[in-house]
Amino acid sequence: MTTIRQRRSETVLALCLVAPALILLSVFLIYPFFKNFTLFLYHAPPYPGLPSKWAGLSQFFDTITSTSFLEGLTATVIYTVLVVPIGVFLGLVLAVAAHQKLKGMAIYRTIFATTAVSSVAVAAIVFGTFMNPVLGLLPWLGIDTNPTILQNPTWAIFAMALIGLWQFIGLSFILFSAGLQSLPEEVLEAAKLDGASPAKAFFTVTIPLLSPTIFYVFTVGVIAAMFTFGQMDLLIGPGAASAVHVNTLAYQIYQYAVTTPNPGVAACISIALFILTAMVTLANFRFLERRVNYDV
Amino acid sequence: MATVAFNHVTKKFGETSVLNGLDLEVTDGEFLVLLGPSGCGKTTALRMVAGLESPTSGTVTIGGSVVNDVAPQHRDVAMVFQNYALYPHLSVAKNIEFPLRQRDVSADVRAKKVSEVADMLGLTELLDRKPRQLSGGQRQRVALARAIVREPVCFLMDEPLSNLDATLRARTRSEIVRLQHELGTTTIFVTHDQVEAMTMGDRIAVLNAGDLQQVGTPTELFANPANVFVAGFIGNPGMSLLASEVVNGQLSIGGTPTTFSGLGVSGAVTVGVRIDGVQLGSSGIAAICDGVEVLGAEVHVLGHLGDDQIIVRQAASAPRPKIGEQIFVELTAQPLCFDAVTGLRVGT
Repeated sequence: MTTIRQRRSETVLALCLVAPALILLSVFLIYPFFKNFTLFLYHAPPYPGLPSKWAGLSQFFDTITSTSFLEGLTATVIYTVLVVPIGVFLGLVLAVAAHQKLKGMAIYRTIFATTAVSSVAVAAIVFGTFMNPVLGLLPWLGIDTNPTILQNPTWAIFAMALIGLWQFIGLSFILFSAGLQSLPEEVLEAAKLDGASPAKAFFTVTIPLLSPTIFYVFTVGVIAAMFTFGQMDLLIGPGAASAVHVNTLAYQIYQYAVTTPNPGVAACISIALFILTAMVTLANFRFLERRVNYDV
Repeated sequence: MATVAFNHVTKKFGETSVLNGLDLEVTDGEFLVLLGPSGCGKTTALRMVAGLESPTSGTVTIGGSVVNDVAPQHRDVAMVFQNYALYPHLSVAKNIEFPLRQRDVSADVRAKKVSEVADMLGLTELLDRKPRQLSGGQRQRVALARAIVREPVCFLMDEPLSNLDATLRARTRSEIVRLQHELGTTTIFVTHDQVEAMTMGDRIAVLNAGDLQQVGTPTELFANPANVFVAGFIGNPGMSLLASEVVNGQLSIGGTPTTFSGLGVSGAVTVGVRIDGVQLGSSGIAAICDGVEVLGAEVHVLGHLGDDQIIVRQAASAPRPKIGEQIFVELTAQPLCFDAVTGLRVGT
């Protein structure tokens, strides 16, 4: 009897502990996710309160073949390609540098890691100030800022990527630092004794052993990059985003859901972005994961 | 092959001193065992030969050259680690050839050498496997193969048998000794297991708390320990060490006079007796039985006299004393005497 009662009370305790997370996930993740699949089948009513009109799949296909969607897709791909590989590389380089047993490394580690915990608003203000045509660094460096970088259709996406990169390097650095610290010290020492130079040991031992972390950072980076819109909204805004080619798919979802409400189209882009992200992630697993070594 | 020497080597980690002026020479082709309890500095000493630690002061020489500032990859020493340290992402064959690859040895020579070494260690069938697909014993052999294949001047082995089960450990012990004799490579083997040390080493260097206690052949250390630490550490079981007194030339233990005299000492001493130098009797030195260990053909009776422990061997068929019962111990061989204060060997 005691055992049954004890088990029951343990179950109740477990449910109580899980409940806050479950409620939050249900309200902000699970319910919206499934709601999307009903929203994307209806045209939004012209006035709030009127009944939605059935659209079937036509709205979805119209949306994903529209010029704005293709522009958004292009901006998303360019942003991701600019941010993720460079972020992975620089995060790794900084983590390896900070892994050296040198004096004062703790300070550098803290500095490198802070970008990961800075909000996009902070990053946008900092970089927005740097890029300001009057107060920023560029005029001081003698670079012509007319039109300003944020108004320049060629350079605006690079400016957005720079902010994303700055934030992603912090995360990448933290994950690589953790990965490096978990590597078996004896194996790295064995490589030294076996005659491997530091560079050879890095490429033939450290990198293969770190490959699960590299794969993880890359996959997480791609997913995060595909959902970025914070700096676009804060520094450029919905009016100019399209003109300067930074109107990423995630930003379009935000605009259709909040700025100019059209929940049906927002849901269509959401589902398209979800499918796209899933495909890219599956491709990562299919083609990159086979090179990953999980043996330690 | 080369001579390896520690010349007054000291190692400190912060304020903690791990090695205190170690002077030790390992001669060319010798199998030397560094023996001591955990934290005695034996692994640190080995890592200094490997170049994985630097001495705080003093010099380490390999083949007569000071190597304090030589990087590990340029020392031409091979190390077998406690956890084998195999490259988990490489096959057995690639693990073995790794050191050769680093030296840009041609593919033909690499293949030939890997094949020879794999054959020597019975690894031929396992060459395509990954380390995770191997048993502990097989991994151990791969680690040995990787060390052997490059023909280094010195082998360093850091408790390589400690992860193996008792049977495999005994077998691998003799295998390593055989290989070392065949190759004739200078070897430094670190262990805390005195049975390994006694059965494998040409000589044993006993360390305790960073100090070298004694260096000698297994027989020398067993028969003539330099101090109470070596006496208690060497042998299975180690010597029983008993507070005693020599009055008018006659040895008295626990207030009971013994028949031994002419020990060349007087006053308070610590005597060391091996298990085969004592027996239970109906009279003699009184002790209290603490327990009995049954080992099959014989039993060990554990007892104490004051604060000192004593172990006596008994036939398995003999009546066994009970815990807490008084027992009487007789000395059947002349004990060794140690200074009661310094613990150093004294007398004859």
